[in-house]
Amino acid sequence: MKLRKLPLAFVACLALACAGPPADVSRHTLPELAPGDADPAQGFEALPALHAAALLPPELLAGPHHRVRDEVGSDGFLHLYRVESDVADFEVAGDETLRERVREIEAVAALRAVQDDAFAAAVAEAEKRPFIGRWELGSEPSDAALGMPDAAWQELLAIDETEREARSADAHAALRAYLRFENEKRELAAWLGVDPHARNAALQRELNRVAIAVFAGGFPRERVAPGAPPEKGVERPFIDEDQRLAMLLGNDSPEDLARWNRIELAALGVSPELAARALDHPWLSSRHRTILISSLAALEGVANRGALVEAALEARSETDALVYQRIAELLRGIHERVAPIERLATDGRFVRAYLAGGVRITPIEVDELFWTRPTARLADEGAGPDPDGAVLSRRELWLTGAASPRTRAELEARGFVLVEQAFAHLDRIEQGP
Amino acid sequence: MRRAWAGLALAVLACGSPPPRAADAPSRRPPILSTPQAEGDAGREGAKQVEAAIGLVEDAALRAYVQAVGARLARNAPGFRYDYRFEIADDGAPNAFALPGGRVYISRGALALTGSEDELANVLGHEIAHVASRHAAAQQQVAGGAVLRTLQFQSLPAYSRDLERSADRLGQGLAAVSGYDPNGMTAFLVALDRLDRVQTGASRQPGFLASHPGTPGRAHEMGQRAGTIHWTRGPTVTADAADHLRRLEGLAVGTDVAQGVFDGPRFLHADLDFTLRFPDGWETVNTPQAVAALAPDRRMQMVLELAAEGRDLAAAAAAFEERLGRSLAIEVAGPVRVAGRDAFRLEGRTDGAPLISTFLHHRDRVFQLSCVGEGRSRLEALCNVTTRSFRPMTPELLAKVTGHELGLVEARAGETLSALGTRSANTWSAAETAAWNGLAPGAPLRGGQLVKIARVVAWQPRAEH
Repeated sequence: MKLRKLPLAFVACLALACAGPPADVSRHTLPELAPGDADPAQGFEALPALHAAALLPPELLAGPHHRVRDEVGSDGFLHLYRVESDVADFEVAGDETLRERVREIEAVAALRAVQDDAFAAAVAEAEKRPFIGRWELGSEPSDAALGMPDAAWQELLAIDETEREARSADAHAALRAYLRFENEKRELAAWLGVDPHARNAALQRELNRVAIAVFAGGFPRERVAPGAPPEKGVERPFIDEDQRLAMLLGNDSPEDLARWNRIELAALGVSPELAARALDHPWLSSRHRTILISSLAALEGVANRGALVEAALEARSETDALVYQRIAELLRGIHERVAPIERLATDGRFVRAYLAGGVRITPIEVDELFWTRPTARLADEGAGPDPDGAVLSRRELWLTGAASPRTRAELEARGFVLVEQAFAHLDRIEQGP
Repeated sequence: MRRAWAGLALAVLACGSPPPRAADAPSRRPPILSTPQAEGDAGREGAKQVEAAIGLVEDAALRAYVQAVGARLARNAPGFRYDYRFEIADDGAPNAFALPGGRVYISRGALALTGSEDELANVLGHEIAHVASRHAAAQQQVAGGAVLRTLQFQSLPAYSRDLERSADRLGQGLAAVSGYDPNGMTAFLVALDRLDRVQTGASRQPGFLASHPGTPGRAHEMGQRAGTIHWTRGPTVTADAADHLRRLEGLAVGTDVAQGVFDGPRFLHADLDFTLRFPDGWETVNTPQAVAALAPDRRMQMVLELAAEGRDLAAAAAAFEERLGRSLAIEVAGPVRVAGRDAFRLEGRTDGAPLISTFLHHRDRVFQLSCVGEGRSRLEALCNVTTRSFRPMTPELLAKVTGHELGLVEARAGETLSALGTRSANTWSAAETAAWNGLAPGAPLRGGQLVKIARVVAWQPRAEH
């Protein structure tokens, strides 16, 4: 077992996360709008007034613990929502991120709802165990994401540095407690439909407290998770990479996922320095990282797969992390269902995929793409000479969402072939005619 | 057949066309590998079966070496819930496999084929990848539960193409992050392919370390990947490839004489000081637990096993009856004389087939020869002849007990493998020597280059004899 030392950036993120969900609007993946960028007088499309009621299904629009404000903004690429919730009020960029946040709000509410007297008794019981007692559950855990104070984490690190045979019985017990805690936390997260490694500090704190109360205090898990837990990968036959990925995410601890990812990155030909930065990146959670890297591993034979890792290193929010994860999944879908990708390249923000016959595909995460200055700049650059000097026969833009009619017309006029709702497009290809 | 008592039922020859029912391996539903705990349990159970069926190489220094290399990899491997253990399976064929929960085995044949610590690390890394990816659980679900098969090492189900390729990729990555050259797997696969071509005339297809594409294709693919991997040499156990080879010197090659050898239909076991002659033309097999023969028409088989320590024939017979339980119906039981020695005989039926089991004591051990098959009178006649052939070894027979071990020879500059073989009494052909050394046939040798050879070793009594 090799526990990873936490990078300073990670600790800083925790400090900033306070009690609510992380700020999602800061990002690198897509350009941000500046004044005049959507000015019709300057030849751009005015961003329309958008309404949550028209964009979202009812369960996403409002629930027992949240409400999305009807006024929705746009930065030309993603929808910008304001959410009021029991946990906190916050802004969210993008439909996909909104779905994640709402699931997290519901999970936090479910976890808080069970914290009654019986729960307090279970916590007290758990604290009688030597190692768990030092986690100071009665007070606020000092490190919400780890679920234990730094001193306890350092204790685990010290145990980890010791050879297995030389460890004391107490040390073995501490490691076992940590493993059971991790396992219980993943089980709870799976049942609640959230990422056990999410950066949401409120979610982390509640998950940690309940996981400890369940595994060490005898608190009945059924109180939180009635019925059978959702299937984890290992419960199903897994004979391919998709099933292996499900198994990893459902069963492996963050330490194991870090090891898998390190090995995969080595096999991908990514340099140890780049790999180390990716593994320590503050905004790429274990889940984002594992899906992104597994998707890259599935791009067998594709040259320069490290390009996407390089781009993902620039992520500065959970939204960014999710975007790069989805771009990796999209590239894998193209490689497996459309045509083999030969190589990848990046300008540090967008990733380009080159296919045989001079075909270049640029995948972009959007909810709805409007014709703004950044979009026009992107289109003009994309229509010009290829940065790598490739001779192109076809330039494709794959959008995860849709394009406005004006954007569609402008892009097609510049010679782009546009694929909208790219994931649904891939699904249709898989299902056949 | 090993010197230790192993307690085998009549299950050795479960092969070919339908054998007598008594020869079926004991059917035991394998555990479902849905949790790490279940995997650990299955691994421990599987280890007992595999180690009894194949046996382990007991050379402490060599085991420690393999375990040290394995431990370097395990430190970087996922699945810290697993208790990774590394052993050398006492099998002369190049092979390696892993059981759920962390048991990894490399055969002495595969170990002898490795040319460096890098190659060894890559083979172990490939198996660790299977363990950590829980491929056995996947295979179990795909194969309907048949993960472990008693006494049929060669029949352990091959992994699917996807799982094998995944283990190739991850094993190579694991070797690299552990400070080993990822080209080691390529070198090993090239050597394996050359050996297959020499021994069978074709590249390997199904079985261990083989899938689709075949071995040459995999070697090419892994060579290409190795070329893209950034890696830095980490601390190693051995100083260099020569150090690795010197650790292998003396490793048994092919059949290990300590397990007994066949001279035609005659089985010779020098360590246990007995010989036995099976009927001419029968198919014979020697496993750590038993030595056995199967009639050409597969309607009859004989199994000789070590039944117990001591001299109590009746107790050994009673233990056998108890072990078989209801599947054994005894009709006659009692002491007899066989070739002038005391014996105990059971006659009856097992699962409807006639059975004759004779218990003989020899040098404070009780041996059991069981004959099962169709046609009682013919079975009895053949069984009696074979039972009477059980006797101590003679000096003439002992001289026939020879095996082979791995030797090392320093080549002279420009020397050919043929010339080196002649001066070193190498029993491998030049083509075999090239394959075992990962060399292209006809490649000129460098002065001082260490070359693996096979040398004849006569049986030597063990120290405790």
